[in-house]
Amino acid sequence: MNGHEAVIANLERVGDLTELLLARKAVPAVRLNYSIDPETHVGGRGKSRKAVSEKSGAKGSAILRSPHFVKYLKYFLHGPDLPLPSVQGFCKILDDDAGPSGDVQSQIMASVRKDVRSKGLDKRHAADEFFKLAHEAERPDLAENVRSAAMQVK
Amino acid sequence: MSKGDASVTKLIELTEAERTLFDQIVWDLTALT
Repeated sequence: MNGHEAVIANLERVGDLTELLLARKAVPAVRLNYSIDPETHVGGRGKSRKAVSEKSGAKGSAILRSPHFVKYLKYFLHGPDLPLPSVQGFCKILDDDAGPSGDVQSQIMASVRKDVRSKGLDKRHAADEFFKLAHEAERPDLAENVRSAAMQVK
Repeated sequence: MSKGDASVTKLIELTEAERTLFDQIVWDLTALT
């Protein structure tokens, strides 16, 4: 099997696994929404990630077997790609939140900036992952702010 | 979701068939070319 054939066979497995997960509704709704909800697609001009993929030619099961889809399956399976202490710190701030919403917003933005800086995270990747984490933590109202906080790191 | 735990980064539970596929997938496509 040459390299191209190996990639095709691998993507076939990615598609097969995704179809099995979707068939038994094993993917958390918040993770599915990331690919199908236009509201979670910053810069998508009102189109979901799925709609953008379809516009570029991929349809139906072919979408699940495109190289671009691998990162979505990883997210479906694992959740946000962040260090565990970052996730725990983020969740603790939300759990401890008892004050005005402005307080938690500034605390969480400061925490995100500190994490990106101190852990040497790629800020663009981290911005997307913290955005997803805010949605998973049922605080979509904070998602844009945490994305911006990660991107602000110099 | 319980915000206090780390459930958001835990691999979702897989069936045996799913686990077999999962174990066979090469996640870094550049490793295949």
